[in-house]
Amino acid sequence: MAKKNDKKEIEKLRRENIEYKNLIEEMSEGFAFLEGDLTFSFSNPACDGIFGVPEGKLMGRKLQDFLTTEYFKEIKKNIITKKKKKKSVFEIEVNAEDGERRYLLTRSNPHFDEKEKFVGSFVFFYNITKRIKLEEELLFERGLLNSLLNTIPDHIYFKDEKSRFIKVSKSLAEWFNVDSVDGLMGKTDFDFFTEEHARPAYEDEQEIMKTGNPIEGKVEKETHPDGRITWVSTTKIPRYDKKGNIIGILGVSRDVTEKKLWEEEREEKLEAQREELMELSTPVIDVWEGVLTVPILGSLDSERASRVSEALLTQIVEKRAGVAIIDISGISAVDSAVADRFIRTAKAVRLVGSEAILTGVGVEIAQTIADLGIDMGGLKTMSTLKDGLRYVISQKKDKEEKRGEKE
Amino acid sequence: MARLTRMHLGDILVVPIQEELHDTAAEEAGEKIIREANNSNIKGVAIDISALDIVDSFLGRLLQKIAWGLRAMGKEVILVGIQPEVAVALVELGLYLEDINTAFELDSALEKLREMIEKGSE
Repeated sequence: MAKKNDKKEIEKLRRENIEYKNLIEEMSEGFAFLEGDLTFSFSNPACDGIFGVPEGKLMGRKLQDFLTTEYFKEIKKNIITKKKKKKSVFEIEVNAEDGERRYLLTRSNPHFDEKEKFVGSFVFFYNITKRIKLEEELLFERGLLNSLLNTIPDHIYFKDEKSRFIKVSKSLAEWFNVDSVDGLMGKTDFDFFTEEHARPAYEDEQEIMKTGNPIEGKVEKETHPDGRITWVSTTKIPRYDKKGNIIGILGVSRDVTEKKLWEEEREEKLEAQREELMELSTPVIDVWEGVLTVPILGSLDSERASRVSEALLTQIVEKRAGVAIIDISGISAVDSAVADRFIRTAKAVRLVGSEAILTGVGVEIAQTIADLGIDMGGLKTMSTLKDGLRYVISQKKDKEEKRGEKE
Repeated sequence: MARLTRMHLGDILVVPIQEELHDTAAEEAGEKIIREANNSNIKGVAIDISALDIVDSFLGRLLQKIAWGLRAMGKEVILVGIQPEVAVALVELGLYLEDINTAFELDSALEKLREMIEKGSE
């Protein structure tokens, strides 16, 4: 009885408005009439296409043929409202017969006969597969991004064009002793660091946004308001919008404090050792009244050479030494820079009022000096320290004798 | 300009330079030394720069010029009290002053000067 009435009703509709029918036939949205048990008793070609069946073959089929049971239950409950003038809008997922899975937005309108009896629903089906797929992809990627930001120990931060945080990793919030990442939103480095670090970091970022040139692996000293000092290795790159305009930066900073401290400590130790060695290896010896000797052992770089001359000159002046013997018999090789340094030292020794003698010039060194064409510039040289001392002593004797003659 | 102290010890003129001299002041001082050495029976000049921690290339060259000028007039010259830093700086500037005698302090400088004068008059 009910079915007979429905068909009559539809026939009436069709007859009454052919144009309306045509409109429905040509619509790109799916349109159908679903009976109370969700049987299609009418569908337009677009609707057939959505469900993946040949044109006209949807009639007599049931909506649940295309749905998972879970969905079906919900639809029964929610979509097909039987209350008068109550529209319902819902999203469903269908397994179309052409093998595709489609997401549809449905809008159904209950329909009643003259006796106010529910006969079925007019339903629009909008294919929203693309949008849903995009959303799913976005959600997936957001999930990936969030898991990255929540777990990675490196500090990751997205900043806007004014260097304000717009998204940060959990590790950064923890770094700043802030309970949640939301506490950083809209703030800047100036809120969490002192000027000493915040200012150059800000200038770096503005420069990146101006030029588009990234910063890679820059070691930065972070100065916290509580006086804490940390070190990070930072990479910052510009962020672009769709049109290619720079709209901010993305930065990654890795805590390298421990490494830095370790390096510093090692550097300090090395420096201390170097100094100790330097002092040990350049002793200035007071061998005779008014005679100083500097025996030089090992290798001589220009740093050590200038240390030697510094120590020697100071001692000469302090002790009023008339003669300074620089013995290089313990040195393996002399390059031109070092030879030049010696000659300069000897000349400076003379300027302060003393006399310099270079002893221990072995065959090899002599050859080097000759090969390099170094002019020893009137610098007195002797082959051994013994010769040097003998020369100095005889000079002294001569002077004393002269003095004795005078008196 | 600061006054330039000059002392006569017999036939020796002693000029202690107490402060850094610049440009015209230094040139004037140099002129004064040469003129004074010429105007009297001075045989040797000792220029004491022990008070100077820094000597620039200008002053370094001026000292050389003064020494050469005095030498040209037949006077002996000795530079006294060049500090280690000054010596290093002069050498770095290429001012070796190789033909000018040096001494640590005035005592030994005077002794050396006398020797030189004696030798010269022999």
